[in-house]
Amino acid sequence: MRRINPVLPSAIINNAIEIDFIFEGQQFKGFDGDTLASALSANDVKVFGYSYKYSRPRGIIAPYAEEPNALVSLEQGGLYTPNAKATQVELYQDLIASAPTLNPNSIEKIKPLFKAFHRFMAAGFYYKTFMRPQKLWMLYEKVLRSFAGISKAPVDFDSEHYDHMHHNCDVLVIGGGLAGLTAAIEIAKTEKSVILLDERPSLGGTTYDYPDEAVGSTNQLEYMNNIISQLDTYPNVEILSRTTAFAFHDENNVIANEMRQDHKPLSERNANLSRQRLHKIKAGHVLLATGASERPIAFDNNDLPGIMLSTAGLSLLNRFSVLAGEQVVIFTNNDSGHTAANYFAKYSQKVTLIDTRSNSPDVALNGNVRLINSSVIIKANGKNSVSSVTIGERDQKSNKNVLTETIDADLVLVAGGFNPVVHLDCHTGSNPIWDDNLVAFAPNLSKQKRSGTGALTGYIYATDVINNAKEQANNIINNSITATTAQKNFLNTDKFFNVESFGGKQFIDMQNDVTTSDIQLAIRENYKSIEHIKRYTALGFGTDQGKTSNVLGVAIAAQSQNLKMSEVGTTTFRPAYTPVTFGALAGQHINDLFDPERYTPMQPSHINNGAIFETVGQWMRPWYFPNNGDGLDGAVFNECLKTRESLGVIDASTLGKIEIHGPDSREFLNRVYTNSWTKLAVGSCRYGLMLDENGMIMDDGVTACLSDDHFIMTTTTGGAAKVYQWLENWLQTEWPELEVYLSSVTDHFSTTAVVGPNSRELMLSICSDIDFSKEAFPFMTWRAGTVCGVSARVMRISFSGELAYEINVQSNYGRFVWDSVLEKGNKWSIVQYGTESMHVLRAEKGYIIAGQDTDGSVSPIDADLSWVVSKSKQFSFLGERSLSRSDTSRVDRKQLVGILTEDPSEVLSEGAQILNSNTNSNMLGHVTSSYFSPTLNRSIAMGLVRDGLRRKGEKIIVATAKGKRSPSTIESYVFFDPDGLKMNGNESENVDG
Amino acid sequence: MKYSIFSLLKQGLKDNKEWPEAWSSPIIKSRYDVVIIGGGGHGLATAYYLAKEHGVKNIAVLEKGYIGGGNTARNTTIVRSNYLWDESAMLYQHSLDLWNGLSQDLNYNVMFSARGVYNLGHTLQEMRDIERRVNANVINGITAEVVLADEIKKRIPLINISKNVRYPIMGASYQSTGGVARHDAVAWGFARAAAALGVDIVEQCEVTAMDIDNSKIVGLNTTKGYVATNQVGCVAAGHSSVLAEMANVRLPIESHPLQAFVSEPMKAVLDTVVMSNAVHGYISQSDKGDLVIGAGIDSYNSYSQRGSPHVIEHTAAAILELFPAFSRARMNRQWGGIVDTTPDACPIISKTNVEGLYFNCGWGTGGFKATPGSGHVFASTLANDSPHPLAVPFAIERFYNGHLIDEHGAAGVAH
Ligand SMILES: Cc1cc2nc3c(=O)[nH]c(=O)nc-3n(C[C@H](O)[C@H](O)[C@H](O)COP(=O)(O)OP(=O)(O)OC[C@H]3O[C@@H](n4cnc5c(N)ncnc54)[C@H](O)[C@@H]3O)c2cc1C
Repeated sequence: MRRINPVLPSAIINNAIEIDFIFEGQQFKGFDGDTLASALSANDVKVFGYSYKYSRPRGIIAPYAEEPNALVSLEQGGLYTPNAKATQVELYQDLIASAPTLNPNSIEKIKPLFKAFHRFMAAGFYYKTFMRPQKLWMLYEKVLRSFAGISKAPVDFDSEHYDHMHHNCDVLVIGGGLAGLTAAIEIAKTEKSVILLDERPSLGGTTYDYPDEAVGSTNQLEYMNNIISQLDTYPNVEILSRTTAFAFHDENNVIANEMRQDHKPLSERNANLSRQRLHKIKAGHVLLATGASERPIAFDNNDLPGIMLSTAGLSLLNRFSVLAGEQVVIFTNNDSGHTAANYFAKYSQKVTLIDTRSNSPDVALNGNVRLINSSVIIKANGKNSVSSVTIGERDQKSNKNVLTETIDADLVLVAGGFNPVVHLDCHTGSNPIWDDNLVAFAPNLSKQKRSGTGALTGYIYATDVINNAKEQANNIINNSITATTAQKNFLNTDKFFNVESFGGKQFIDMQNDVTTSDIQLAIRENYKSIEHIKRYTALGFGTDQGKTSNVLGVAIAAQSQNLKMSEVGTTTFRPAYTPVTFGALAGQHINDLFDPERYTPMQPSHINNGAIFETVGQWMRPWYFPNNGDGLDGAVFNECLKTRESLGVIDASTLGKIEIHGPDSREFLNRVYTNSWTKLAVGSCRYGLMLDENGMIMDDGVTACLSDDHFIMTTTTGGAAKVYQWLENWLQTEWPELEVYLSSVTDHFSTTAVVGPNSRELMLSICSDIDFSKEAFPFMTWRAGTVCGVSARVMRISFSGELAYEINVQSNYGRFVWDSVLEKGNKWSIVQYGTESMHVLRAEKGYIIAGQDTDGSVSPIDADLSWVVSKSKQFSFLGERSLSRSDTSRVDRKQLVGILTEDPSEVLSEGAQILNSNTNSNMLGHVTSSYFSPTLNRSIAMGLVRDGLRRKGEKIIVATAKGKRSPSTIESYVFFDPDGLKMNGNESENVDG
Repeated sequence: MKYSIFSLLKQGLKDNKEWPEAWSSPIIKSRYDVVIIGGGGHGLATAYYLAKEHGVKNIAVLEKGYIGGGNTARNTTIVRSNYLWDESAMLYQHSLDLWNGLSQDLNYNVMFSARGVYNLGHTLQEMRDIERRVNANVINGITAEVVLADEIKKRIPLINISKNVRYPIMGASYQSTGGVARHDAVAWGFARAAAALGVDIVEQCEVTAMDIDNSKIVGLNTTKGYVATNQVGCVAAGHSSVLAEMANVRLPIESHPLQAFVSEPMKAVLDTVVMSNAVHGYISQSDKGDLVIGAGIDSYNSYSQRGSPHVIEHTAAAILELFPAFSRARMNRQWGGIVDTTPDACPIISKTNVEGLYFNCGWGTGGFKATPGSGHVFASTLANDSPHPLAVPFAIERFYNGHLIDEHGAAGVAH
């Protein structure tokens, strides 16, 4: 192989700029515009690796994204890229590449030792062995695993980043070849917005590979360059190059990935620019102009380096000015082989064209080409690369080939016809259609607002392509889409896919070492469906997704079963068209933006005050405040005791808040909560329990009546979004007759809860326009007023069993009120406390936490909350019917109980299982909450225990996986102040408002 | 022909030209004693155990496409039994017991690889749930342990246990006896073993209607003609509700797309299975070297075997939270299956009020692991016309009486 000098006019390289790069530790030179594959080819590198199963040398076979063999790893550390296709890697200064299977590491060294066993390693051999002894499978597997895989996996943090961008456009044109460009410019003239994208660095598609094709008085390359410069003048056209549309979803949602930095030298990469950008494009119309890719013809030893698709050879020649061989044999079943021969005849010493067909085609042949009709390559010969081919004459009737001669060759180009790139069209569920005229699977294009043009639909020659593209563009403009597929035979292609084997290996899928005989074996064993063939042999499972192999596989399956191609069909085409970096899929939604943390307005104060945080749902809440370096236990001890003794404060802003408006609000609440809301007075609050359809506790919280048709509901911190969706779901889909409007206001208000016997004193010191006397402001009511100069809703509710007030203010004032309360509270030695103390305080009182003490299997009766369940409501509430089901109404269900250990200092582990103390087995339930209670100076726990309500006083064993057994007793779950005196400031008062 | 190293050698010497069919494709008969609808892993396993353990002779498996082409061929193959509730733990453990030795029993290497499964915990509540589940598992005789972040890092070097991430890993439950298996091989292995016992496996045969006379099933209309039979087991996963409708049976099943994707094959770096509920994703590496990744269902109902892109994007982000280094790995292929979800995330193995008509469905996002166990108990249920003891709690009655087995809460990502 050599670089042709002077560089061909069609070539995109600039030989004035030399580029140094390293491949497999060796220094090479290429030119600006080269790919890694073209530069290495110019340096006569032919072998890019050894195959996965049979360890055979392999070289480049395809022009671009179809390449199955030439896989390389690029760079190192945070810039490492696995499994890149050398044909797609743009060369840059100081690029470092290695071929994972070339440089023999230990595994690659061993592989050749298996040569003697290759005949026993046909498709699926591993399903038939390695079964005994069973124990050894893990060892066998380890060995098999070490054989598999191509590049090493990345192991370092990515040093680059990714982002996503959304677009809307009237027309999306996918593919910037002659067809896509021609159509784009026609549409651009109408002021429709157009996005044109192409995976390659420069537009033009395959025009570079066939530059001389005539268009009127000029050639297609010039014609195309002219369009490109015109397109630039249209402001309504956006061109995205290096951008691959890799997935086509319903409703014309196309996802494309743009490579923004990989082509630049490391020193020139911009850390502020994303490495890749995922474009999510919603298009009014999608015009597919994705072209067609060439397929090989299978013959024995067809995997030798130096054998490639004719388009690969042409691409090297015309695009990169690299002559891949002097003694060229071209093997074709269609007219494109003749075109290729003409290009090569200009530079190579000898060109032999072997055509399976007996007739001369439409293309006039250069006089230097030796044409042999009705013939095939029976096999290729050579060790590390091809040195000659044995050819034979084809007997049309018997399909047997008569060996005729051997021809020296250092380059074999195979032109087996073209497959329209139907992949994207198929992503939305339509199957391609076998077309006997095209001798290919044609796109279905049956979905609305979608059409195709160019080679995708069977047009190959420039004039045909241009005409068709204009026609399709006009159809889009006039909104009159008619699916069109070329009626002409596609390059007069002979329906010929593989040569009768002479006993050698004929490779169909090179990456997975799948041979013709593997496919035949699969069929023999009744893996006949093309999907079974794929799965049994691994055909098409590689990183190339079978772009060069699938149709050949279908052909062999059809032949061996005497079926039509259409009867065999294809496997399902799935995204991604070409592999997509995980980082690009994730985009900016990683690290801090993975699931943004939510903070209350008091956050800066919490941080200043040294809080340790806990994740609750999306929120970060203070878990405890380790003053004086106390650990969790010390801090909680202090927080709880001081709160019960005098005054504590907790940030309760994270609780979900939903405003409920509308004349039917009461009725709505009646339906979603278990209790009645008909009579709740303005100014009052009520505790509500929400059940799922099965009657199980889903969420709970206090709802306040602001006015007759206006309520504000609180939910648990973690449950807010779910509850909101749940309510909307019922309102919108089941009860559209209710006039109720919901809005989520969690972020709008912040809540400072002051708790403890001195909370009333504190309130009096910061609010003068509310009467805090017990008569004027009883438990479970709320009052509007001014707190610390800020207008507020103050609710008298309690989750600790203490006298307590929750101050709700507009969020902007949240931190101010919090800080003011802390300052004023000093007088009463105020403590701030976090979620852990909140849990302890509520557990001392036996209040449940939905989600901790309940798990979706606990009914209100199980939780001993029957008092919240109204039996006399007119409209049944969600879950009510389920409560009467036979299992749900059983009396011996798992029920909420208190648990006290025999050893008062022992704190049970949450999640420990509860066993019957007699049998020491038989799980009765589990511990849901467990703490050391500073107030009671002993451990307390809550749990769900079978028939628990009737087991009070019974002895149980609490058990853990590690074998710990703790003797305990079932008790009431209200451990502290059972009469609720403290909540009312030690004055008796009616509890439920 | 028995598969073994010897038959491999022998056939290899004959250029592999004399291997017999793994299963045959007989012409459908006009009458069968038992018809199984659905040639997925569960249906084929049912037929196999019916023939093998219950001596039923005249059995057909009718499959509308190719066998194993439904969820069996689309799942991410996680096998474990560390479920929370006794009922499900027992059922999945029964299955796990059968996985061990399945290759030998079927004489087909299903590549069950007990490489261990981690269910990560990222919050205090998740750790409580993990403790609870592990305690319950161990008491139920199921292998399980709680491991903390540092230990996880030792065993899985690439995992990120930094505290400075959105959901720092606090610990995990670990089931060393769990792992993965080769999904296609499971379908093929059961098919081959069942066919060897005389089961007719009929592909490309869709059941289009049920012939029910006086509340008894008497036959089926199929795309290959009418089949008379008095016992029908429906094992059609995402299409169970379609079959149920043919018999006027109501199932509390919603069909949703569930997606998965794989990376390109790379050298082995991850030799266990890692699942996380908080970030929502799970990952293992196949023997071919692909990272196999999945997450939760698409929220809408659908019968089309593909899903929405944002789910894939979110899943990729989730995996990068756990394994930031995989940022530069590349997705090769994505796909979807249709899963049959129930309100309590547990299967339905049940008789119906049509005599002779049974359903085995509702395995949702996590039924691959149950394949042998599900087939085994369903076969017994059919053969005895009475539920296998392990299947009793999973009868459809639970949706009437409320005896749900709610695995949503504490079972980790449901796969
Ligand atoms: C993406 C994904 C990931 C998953 N990951 C896991 C995992 O990691 N671990 C796990 O345990 N489980 C997992 N699952 C779930 C698991 O795949 C299923 O629960 C299990 O495979 C169901 O097996 P099956 O045999 O019942 O269903 P299928 O394999 O779907 O078989 C049902 C068969 O019924 C056929 N059928 C339907 N209707 C008719 C008709 N009218 N006539 C004839 N035939 C019909 C279908 O064609 C199909 O072949 C996953 C599922 C998906 C989609």
